Amino acid sequence: MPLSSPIHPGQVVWTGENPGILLKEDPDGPFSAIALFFRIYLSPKGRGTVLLLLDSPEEQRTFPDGCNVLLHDNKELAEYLLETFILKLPAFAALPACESLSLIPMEECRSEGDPRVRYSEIIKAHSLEIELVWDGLGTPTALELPAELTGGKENELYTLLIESTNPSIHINGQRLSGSPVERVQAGIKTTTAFLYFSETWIRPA
Amino acid sequence: MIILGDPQNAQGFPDARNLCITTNSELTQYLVQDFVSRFPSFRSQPALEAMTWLEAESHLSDGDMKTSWTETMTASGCEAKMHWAHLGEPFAVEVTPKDCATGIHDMYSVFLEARSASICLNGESLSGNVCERVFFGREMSTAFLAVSETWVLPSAT
Repeated sequence: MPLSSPIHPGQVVWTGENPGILLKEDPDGPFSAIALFFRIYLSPKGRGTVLLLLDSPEEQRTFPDGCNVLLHDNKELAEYLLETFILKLPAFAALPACESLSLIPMEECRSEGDPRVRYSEIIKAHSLEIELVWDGLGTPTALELPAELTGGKENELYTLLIESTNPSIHINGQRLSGSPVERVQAGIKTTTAFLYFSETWIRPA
Repeated sequence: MIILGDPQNAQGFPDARNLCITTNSELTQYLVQDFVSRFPSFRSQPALEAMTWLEAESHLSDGDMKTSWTETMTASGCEAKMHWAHLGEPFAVEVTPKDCATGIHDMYSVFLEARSASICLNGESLSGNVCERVFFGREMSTAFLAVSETWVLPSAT
């Protein structure tokens, strides 16, 4: 939907990368593991890297008993994303794990691979070494969504979606159980494992 | 990183300050052929074909995008630095082929105007200042950050 002027009249809220993996052990049950990663270039709280990782989304298990954590290299940004973005997504808002998150500073983060085939993010924090893997990657699709078609329903979205049919989450070498399931986003049938690159959220004018 | 310090001069580095530092030559050839060589500011610049290609040894991004940002790349015998300062408010653009620099793509991006900027090669600043231009109907300087940029080839229908 081209604008009347190429310059969008709205305010850029944040822009960056936002890949995720949501797994289920039973397709009809709740999510058994969740990873939502942010590499933010620009936001009201600056730039930074944040990972929401829930190894037991239905339980209030704080670290180190459980691994329901918010890893970050910018605490203010992590808190901002949690409050203004993550908890406004219906899939996350009601999760018990989100009520007992442990915020832990990140020591290292790097991406590897090729988003045409297999891509990964490797994160080290405290005693944790985490690898997120998106394999079986599909064709990239550019999305331009009005606020009403987004999870939070507040802001417009530009993003580049690459779905993954074979993702995995590894904590200290151990793969979490579960598989991605089908989901529909803005009429597009896709999976609960995705790379989102060039993601920009815009508050409408 | 492509630097044409002598854009009218059909010579490469170090005879002229025309060079490209890259971590992926195949990607860079694609970008030069399908994008950069179509941009009005680069089109017909003799230096673009003559620039020296160097394999990157390191790459560093530094800054906060609120006040300033710096990209530094090194290669054998060369350190190149691009610095943007006095940054403006970010704004999103959505450009159709009619207004797009290549003339054939849709393009989505977030731009930040820089009121001042510099380019350094081996510690020496290239001469010149940013100037004003009309950018999508708005007065804007010729120095800018563009992030989260996606180029889309429209469907034929």
